[in-house]
Amino acid sequence: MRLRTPIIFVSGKGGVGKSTVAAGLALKSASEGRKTLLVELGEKSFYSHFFSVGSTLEPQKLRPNLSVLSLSAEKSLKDYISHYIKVKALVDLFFSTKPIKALIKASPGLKELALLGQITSRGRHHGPELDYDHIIIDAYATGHFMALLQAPFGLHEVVKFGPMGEQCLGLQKALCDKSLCSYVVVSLAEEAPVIETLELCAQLEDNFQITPQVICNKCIELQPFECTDKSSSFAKQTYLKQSHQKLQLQKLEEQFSNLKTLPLFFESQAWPLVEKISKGMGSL
Amino acid sequence: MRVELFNQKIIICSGSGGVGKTTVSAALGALAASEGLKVLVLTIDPAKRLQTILGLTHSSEDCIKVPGQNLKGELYAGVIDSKKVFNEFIFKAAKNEAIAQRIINNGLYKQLSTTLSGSEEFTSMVQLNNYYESDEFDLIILDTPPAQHAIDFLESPDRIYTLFQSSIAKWFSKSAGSESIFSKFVNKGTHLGLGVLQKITGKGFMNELYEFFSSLKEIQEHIVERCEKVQGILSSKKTSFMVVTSFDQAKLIESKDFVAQLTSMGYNLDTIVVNRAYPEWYVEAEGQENWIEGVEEPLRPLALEMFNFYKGRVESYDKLVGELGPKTNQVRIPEITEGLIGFESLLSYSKYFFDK
Repeated sequence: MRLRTPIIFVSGKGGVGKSTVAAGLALKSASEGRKTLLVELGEKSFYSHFFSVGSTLEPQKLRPNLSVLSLSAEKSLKDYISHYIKVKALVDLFFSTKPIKALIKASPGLKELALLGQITSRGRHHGPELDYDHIIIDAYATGHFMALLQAPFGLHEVVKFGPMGEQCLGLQKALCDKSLCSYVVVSLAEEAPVIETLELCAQLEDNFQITPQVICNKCIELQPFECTDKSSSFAKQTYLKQSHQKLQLQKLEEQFSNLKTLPLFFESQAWPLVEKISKGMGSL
Repeated sequence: MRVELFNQKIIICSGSGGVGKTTVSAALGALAASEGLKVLVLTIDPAKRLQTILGLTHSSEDCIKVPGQNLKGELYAGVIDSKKVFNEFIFKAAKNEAIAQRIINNGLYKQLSTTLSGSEEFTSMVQLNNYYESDEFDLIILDTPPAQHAIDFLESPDRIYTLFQSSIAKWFSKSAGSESIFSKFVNKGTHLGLGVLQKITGKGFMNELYEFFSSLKEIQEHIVERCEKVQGILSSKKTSFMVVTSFDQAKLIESKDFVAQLTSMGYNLDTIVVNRAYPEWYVEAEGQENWIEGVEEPLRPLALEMFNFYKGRVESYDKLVGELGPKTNQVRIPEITEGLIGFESLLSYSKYFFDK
């Protein structure tokens, strides 16, 4: 795969295993010697449960070279404002005012801009930087992910000038910069996820000229076997599942010449699972 | 699950993204229709998957009777076009067309209604309320929007309510002859806060915000009234919630939090559906002692590995369920290998809802 840009966004339909694939990518990157940050978006943390670590509101070290961080829009905005307005009392006042909090939540696009701004700050040399070689973002599922990327484009149509207009332009450039950001779409070899993957990839291509790397997760790897009426129900169902999988994989292969597949791992422990996924990635 | 569920007026299928809410909603709808009810399954699914599942071709209608049915009752499928519903809502709420146009032409409103940032929760509730008030259906099943977290859906009416109650619009009431777009009535803290926001985002953005909130101010009352109505529907005795979850640990833990919140807020939780809990063969394997000997020799290592994997998951699930309390109904639905498309397959799938 060609995933060496400083920033990698991971999206895909809900339930396909985005978070574990993102964690696998991050572990791989860290093991190749890059200082890596695994980022999740939103106020509720998945990784703190998953890896049984404490709060991830500040970067939490998981392994050598690897930390995890939960980014919320409010926190990103606070970091940004603190960076430019040095009077701490004023910043604190800003965030302790209840109506201001409600306003930030309700202002269309502001949350998305704050998150994207912090993620790309190093590449754009603007705002407080995240000091990592490699940032891997466990981003939202397809629909919300498109809304996230769309924000700087849509807002720029509304606000062309001033700080906001400039930031929107800078973000647009950064998101489409192939040497800065790459995109991974995780799928399963099942009907609904494949349809959504194809739709998302077409939108990324049409709207942003972004060509993502598609990873098909949880593929059953099995030697072909005979199946008759007399076979056990395990054999019949596994056979059927395998033939569905084959059909769906073909659809993905037709579209994506560099499709990457990951096997289904029968592993319920967090770290062993992430290690297996990471090994299955091959070289980034 | 109990058959009395079908005495309800509304069933809300909620859960985080990718757990199979749409399939569960459709199957439940087909089942209720086969029991003789006039049922509407309402979804916001942008991929129009409900239509695919019900074997419908793409249709531009908002609500259609699912073709090819031979049931005691009737099954309808409704797809919510978020932008359209939003615009209709504005037109209905505004006192005159000029006010509605002012809102609809606002740049930030366009962002809000066309992108997904929270607007889908709002429009799906508006539409639920519309169909409920039309009183055309015995039962409405709402397939909630694919939120990151199940709780986001539940909190959304409250969020909108608070926003308009706290009257942000009031801050932006430009006094005549004043340069500042901020009202002189806001307190000092808010005034300073707005100043900070203006420094960071610029005057252009603040002007847009001003336009946005002051145009919405015209329909504030209507929004608040709608939110109160929706809250009333959600907490009515005739409304039941189903929480759909998948079997992985993260989703289960999240569902546990969600269930706790639902109950503490007084909502009517009927059933927790654990979807795609295990492959279909697992049920059979669990009940037979020498199951593995019935599996073809070359497949045995895989079969055993899979069996142990799912067994481990079932055990960890049982532990979690113990913490949910004994009162909640639960059903576990295996992963169906056959494609789930059309009536027959939906009805055969729905049998799992009532199986032990």
